[in-house]
Formats: sequence, C-alpha cells, structure tokens
Amino acid sequence: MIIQQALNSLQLGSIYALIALGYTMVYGVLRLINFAHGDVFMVGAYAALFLAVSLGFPLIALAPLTFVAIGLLGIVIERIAYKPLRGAARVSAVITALAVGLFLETLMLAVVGPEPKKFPALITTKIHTLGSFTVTNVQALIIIISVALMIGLDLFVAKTRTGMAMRALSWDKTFAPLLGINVDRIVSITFFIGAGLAAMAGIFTGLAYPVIDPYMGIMVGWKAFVSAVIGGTGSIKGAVLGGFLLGAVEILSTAFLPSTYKDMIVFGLLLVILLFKPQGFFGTPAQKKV
Amino acid sequence: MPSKFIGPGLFLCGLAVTLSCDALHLINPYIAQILMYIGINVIMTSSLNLVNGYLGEFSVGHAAFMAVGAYAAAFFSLSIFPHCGPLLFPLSLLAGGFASGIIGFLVAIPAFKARDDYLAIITLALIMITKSMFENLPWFGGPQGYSGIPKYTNLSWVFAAAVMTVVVVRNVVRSGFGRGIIAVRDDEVAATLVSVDTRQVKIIAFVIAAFFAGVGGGLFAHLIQFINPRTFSILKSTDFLLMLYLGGSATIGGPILGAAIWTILLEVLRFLGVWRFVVAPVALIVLMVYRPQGIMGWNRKKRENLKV
Amino acid sequence: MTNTPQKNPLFEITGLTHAFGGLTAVSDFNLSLGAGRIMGLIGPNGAGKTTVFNLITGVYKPDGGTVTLKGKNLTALPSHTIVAEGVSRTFQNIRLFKSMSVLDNCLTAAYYRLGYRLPEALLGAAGFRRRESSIRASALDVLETLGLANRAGSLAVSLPYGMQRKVELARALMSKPAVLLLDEPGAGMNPAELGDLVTMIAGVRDAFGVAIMLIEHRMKLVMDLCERVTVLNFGTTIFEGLAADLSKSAAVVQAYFGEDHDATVG
Repeated sequence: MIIQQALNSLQLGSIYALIALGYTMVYGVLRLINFAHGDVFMVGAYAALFLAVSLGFPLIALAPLTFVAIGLLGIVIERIAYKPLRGAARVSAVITALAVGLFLETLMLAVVGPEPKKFPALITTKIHTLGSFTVTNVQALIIIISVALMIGLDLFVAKTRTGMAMRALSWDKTFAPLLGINVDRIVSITFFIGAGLAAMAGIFTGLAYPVIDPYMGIMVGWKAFVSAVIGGTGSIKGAVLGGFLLGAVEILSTAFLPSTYKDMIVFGLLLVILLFKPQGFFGTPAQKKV
Repeated sequence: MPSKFIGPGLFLCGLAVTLSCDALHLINPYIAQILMYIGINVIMTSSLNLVNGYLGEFSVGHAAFMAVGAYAAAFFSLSIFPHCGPLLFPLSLLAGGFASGIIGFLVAIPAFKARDDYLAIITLALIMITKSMFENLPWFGGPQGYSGIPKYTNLSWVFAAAVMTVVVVRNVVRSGFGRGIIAVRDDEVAATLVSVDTRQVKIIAFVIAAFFAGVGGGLFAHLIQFINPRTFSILKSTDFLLMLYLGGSATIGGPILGAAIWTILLEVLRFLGVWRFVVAPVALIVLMVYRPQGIMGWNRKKRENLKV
Repeated sequence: MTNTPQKNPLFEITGLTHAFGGLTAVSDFNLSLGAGRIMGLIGPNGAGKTTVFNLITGVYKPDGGTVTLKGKNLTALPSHTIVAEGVSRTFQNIRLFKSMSVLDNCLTAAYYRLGYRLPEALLGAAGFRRRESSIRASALDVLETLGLANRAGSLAVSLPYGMQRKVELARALMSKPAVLLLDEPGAGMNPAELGDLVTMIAGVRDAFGVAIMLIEHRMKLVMDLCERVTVLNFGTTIFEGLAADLSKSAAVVQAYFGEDHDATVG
C-alpha cells in the first residue's frame, strides 16, 4: 500500500519537479517569477496532442519535437515580454508575467474551446504486478525519464560552460557580463530548457492523466510553483525536492481525505512553510542592510 | 457657496439622478447593467489601489476578498434576512464588508515580513484556499454555489458605494496614515526610523481594501444573482490588476478611469466572442512594456537597485 | 564645558554588544551624553559605527547592553517606538521618500503624534483637519529654520545633494528628538559646504536643544563640532575622551596609520 502511494507520488512529483525546475532556473537567472510557466506547460500538452492526433507522430518523435517547439516558445515569450522590462520595477515584470500566462490560457480557450480533450494513449498500458502493488509501464517511463532529465540538467549546470555561466549570472547579475558572459544568450537558453522540461511534463501528464484542458496550467502550474518555493527558488535541488514533496503530500491527502480538500492542504502547507522558512529549504535568506 | 459643500452637493445630485433612473426605469436596462458593472469595478479597483498602488505591495488576492464579501452578503440576504426585502440590503453589504475585512487583517500579518513575489504567492494561496473553503463547507452551497440571490443591487446603491469608496481611499491617502502607507512603499526601513508603525499601516491598508472589496462583492452577488467558487478566480484578480495599471496606480482618478475604460471596452468587443478575452492580457503586456505608469500615473520609472 | 559625565545623563548606553554570526561587530560600547552636547563617533571603515546607530535605533536587537533615554530603557523596543521616544537619525546614503515632496517627507515623521484616529481621518472630521494644519505648521517652521521653506513643495529627491541632506535633517527633527544621530552628514560635500554644515549643526543644537551624536570621517567637522569623541576599531572602543586629546592617543594613531607610523593626527 505504501509502495503504491510512493509510486503514485513519484509520478506526480516528477511532473511537478520538471515544471518547478523551469520556475527555479528563471528565478535564479533573472530574479523573476515566470507566472506564465504553468501555462507554457499546458501549451506543451496541447502541442503534443496536436502532433499525436493530427500528424500521427509516435511518442519517440513527438517528445523531442515538442521539447524544441515549446523551448522556442519560451525564448519568444522572453524576448517579447520580459526582455523589455529587465530594468523596470519588479511589479511591472510580475504583472507582465501574469498577463502572458493569461494570454496563453485565453488563446488556447479561443482556439480549442473549454471542453477537456482526451490525450491519446501513445503507449499501450501494461500493468506489472509485483506482490501487493502494481506499476504500469507508463508510470515507470515517466519516473525514469524524469529522473534522467533532472540528472542531466544537474550535470549540465555543474559541468558545462553554459551551466557555469547560468550559475554565475544567478549569483551576480552586475558582474557576469563583465566576465564575457552573453547575458541574452544565457537567459534564452535558460528559458529554452525550462520551457522544454515543462513541455515534457505536459506530455507525461497527458500520458498519466489522459484528460487535458486549457485551465490545467493554472492548477498544476501554481502547484509546481509552490514546489519551487518550498525547495527554495533558485535552487535546482530544491525544485526537485519540492516537487516530490508536493506530489507526496497531494497523493497522501487524497488517500486519506476527500479529494476536494487537497488544494486547501497543498496551499495551506505552502503558507506554513513560508511563515517558518520564507526562503524555502535550500534558498538563501534575504539580508537586511541599512 | 463655500467649497466644502460642492462635494456633498454633487453627490446628492448624482444620487437624485440614480434614484430617479431606478424608480422610473429611465435607462435602458442593458446600459444600466453596464453602468453598475463599471461602478462595482471602480470599487474593486480603488480598493485594490490602496494595497497595490499606495502601499506598493503585490496582492493578487483581491478576488478572494470579493468572494468572501459576496458569499457573506448573499448568506445574510438568503438565510438571515430572507423576508426583509431590499431595506436591509445595506446590512448585507456591511456584513460582506466586515467579513472581508477580517480576512484582510489575516492577510496583512504575513505581509509584515513578505514582499513582492512572496506576497504574490501568499495572496495566491489565499485565493486557492478561499475557493476550496467555499467548495467544501456545507453552509455555502458547495461547488454549486448560491443561486436565486435577490436582485437588490441598483444604480443608486452602486453609485453611493462607489463614491464612498473613492472618498474614503482619498481621505486615507491624504492623512498621516496615508503618508505612512506611501513611506512604507518608498522605503520601509526609513519609514520605521521616522516613527511610522509599519505593521499598523499595513493592517490599515489591507483591511480597508478588503472591506470595500467585500462590499463590491456583495453588490456583485446581488446583481448577477448567482455565484459559485469558480466565479472568483485568479482571472478575476487579474482583471482588477489590469484596470488598476491601465488607469494608473497610486492616483485617485486612475482606478476610476481604468475601470470605466476597461468595462466599456470589453462590452464593445463583444462581437469578438471568446477572443475578446485574449485582448485583455495582450493589452496589459503592451501597457507594461510601453507605459507602465498607466494613463494617469506620473512618469516614474523605478530602476532596480544594482548594488549587491 | 566640563568633561566629567553628568550624574543623570540624558542619554546613556552601557555595554552595547552585538555579533553577526561569528563576527563581533560591536563590543562593550558605552556612552554618556547630556542635553545640548555634541559627541563624535569615528574610526576606520568597518569599525562598527553605523552598527552602533542601528543598534540604538532598533534596526538590530543588541545581543547585550542597554540604551537609556531620560531614564527609560529603549533597548528592546521596536524602531518606530524608539523614534517616538526621542531618538532620531539620518543616513549615510540619503534615504528620503522618493515619491514625496519635501514637506510630505517631514510630515511623515509626525506619524507618532498625529493626534487623530483613523475614523476621524476617513470622515475628514474637523478635529482631523485642525491637527493636520497644526502638524503642517510645525513642519514649515522646521523647514524655515533650515532655510528650506521655499522648496517645501518640491519633490524631495529632485533637489541638489546638499539640500537633500538638509531635508533629511529636517525630517529627523520633526519627531522632536532629544538625541539626534547623524551618520556622515558631511559625506560628498566640498570644504565650503562643510563650513555651512558646521554652522547648521551647531545652529540645530542651539535652536532645538538636541544632543547630537555624529559619525564622521571628515576630521574638520569632528574637531569643530565635537567636545568629546569615541574612536572605534573592529567594534572595540580604543579611545574615549576630549577631541583635543585625540592626537595624543597612540592607539588612535596606530588604528588609522598602522604600527610604525609616528606622525600625529590632526
């Protein structure tokens, strides 16, 4: 029973973690909370749906294609809406981010309509029973690929020059350009990766919970955002931890309480954590300077 | 005529006009409805201005205050005074306002320490929790919400409430408390070091803002006669943000202008069908990029502090 | 002008101590200040001078020690209460309220003595309007004394630098302080402006009867204004006494000039 819940938590947690990574990387590099990120995830799911249903692409081709396409969307959003506001008041940037998200939602609503759509079963589900719990190949795929992506990202940030540049930028925005770092390029790459990961999360959501609608970005997106905050915005390990933690909390609360309470619990948890550890588990506390 | 009578005089004239329109059905009901929406939006945006404009906080929770007010007012009209008719309507509105004010107080507390992004998160969590609460608690109609709310809202109530909101907000801003609020926005630490009690100031801003948002919610509920938890989503909060920044935050006229322009624009764009909702965020983005101070805001582009 | 500490000094600090993490910023700082006295707090950069100001005004809660004003213990109180009790300060980097006029900057500092409650303000009652006029009048008075009355309506941050410092001083005086803490008031000024500043600070002391504590690097300002001086180095007091005796202290010379220098200060 516990292992069953653990598996379910890992699956849901993987999805939250993948999206949370996008939030945390952008925050690390730009100090901006990309409120539109959840909706990018939603668009990713729809893009995959389109490729699968209208163009008949199999999963193996669809995944990288969607990653790239949505990654490019991320870059476009950044260039049009966020770049012009880089020096402006924080409030303006936050509102713009909200507006971009809203734009994506209303656009999808206008284009595909509000009714939820069924995501095609790109993999025939095979259930494996091991003792008292079951695991599907979909679950296994999601968890394994997600973890692989997370490890890949961690290695990328730790070992490559671009990754180093991203970290340099997150520590000191003023001096990084003086070291020859092309800020625009690094920011674009950050958005590309974040959006791409969100798109993968969209595909996984479609595979695991086969119904998608234009509003799902709001709920899932905000919960992933909560994960990033709990883990500490700006910390990659934090985003992953936060994602899995949130997945566990949500699965466990649905297991023991009526499902309508789960949102309340998730956001209640957020408030509690923010009150006691406002910088999350891995974030750096803000220093007061007079 | 001494200048201090002009304001109240104008108000009474306006009230006379709205009362006649209501009693004698002088205005086309469609236009009347639009005017009432404008009025309610003026209330919502002016109250939001106190927290987001003058106090400079970033709250996306205004829809939650509206929700609490709407539900509380509806609850009063339906359950507590069901047979008393429109005469006790102001009590329902006050109930809505007070209920919302209490929530405003609760939100002010985390605002003592959190700012900007963190407050956005907290106020967002508030919306989610409020929505969840109304879905789950049995006395508030659950996911179906309330229906059959009597239509007590009319031009006069909306006009009176809107004028009151604007006047009260203006009076707060012009007083020592208002100076404290703006000081906290400009430099919170310096504010405490010139004797401003920042906690008190934040409480004042949030509670007053929430109170009027609650009244607006009550008016709204008794206009559309049907509310459910999904009515008051983050999309609604974003609407008010848009109106505020369109008109110009931290000005008295800005919210009025923004509310009026936006409400009318949405009506005019009705022919676009569902695409008119796409226009809204695009307009907001364009606004933020090209004129973040809105129509009435003065040119004050803040530069982010580059010091480490 | 005696140099013996008074029996019941206006403002007293004993054993003030504070550490950030493992680093001791201020260690056993003591002070005894009487009404109308001006004392200087000097020391190399990073010695802990501004930290002392921050500890006094409640920005940080001291790890140890007490701060007393007119016999009242201010140590654990929140900043806004300390200011209301009568300790005001200015800042090293000017911190005026950016969106406010000169007058409004000053009016804000009267928050603790508004004399009306929120409901009266909301209704625009007569009592409220009377109190506002009275506070306004007192602000214009202060501005007049500092020669700023004709700029009362200007946006505070649009004024030239020297005038902004004056506005900050006016704002600090609005809370009717018994003790005024000035953090490098002469920073960024040329010698001519410094002369004016000396006159102004002495004038403020005479007109408002405040005791003044001054952090400064410009020795001319310190020697012209301060009777007594405390020198901090790495948080510890290495000298406390008459300004005239400064140059005779070996510890001070060493702190400023290093081990082998035998030149004298000032």
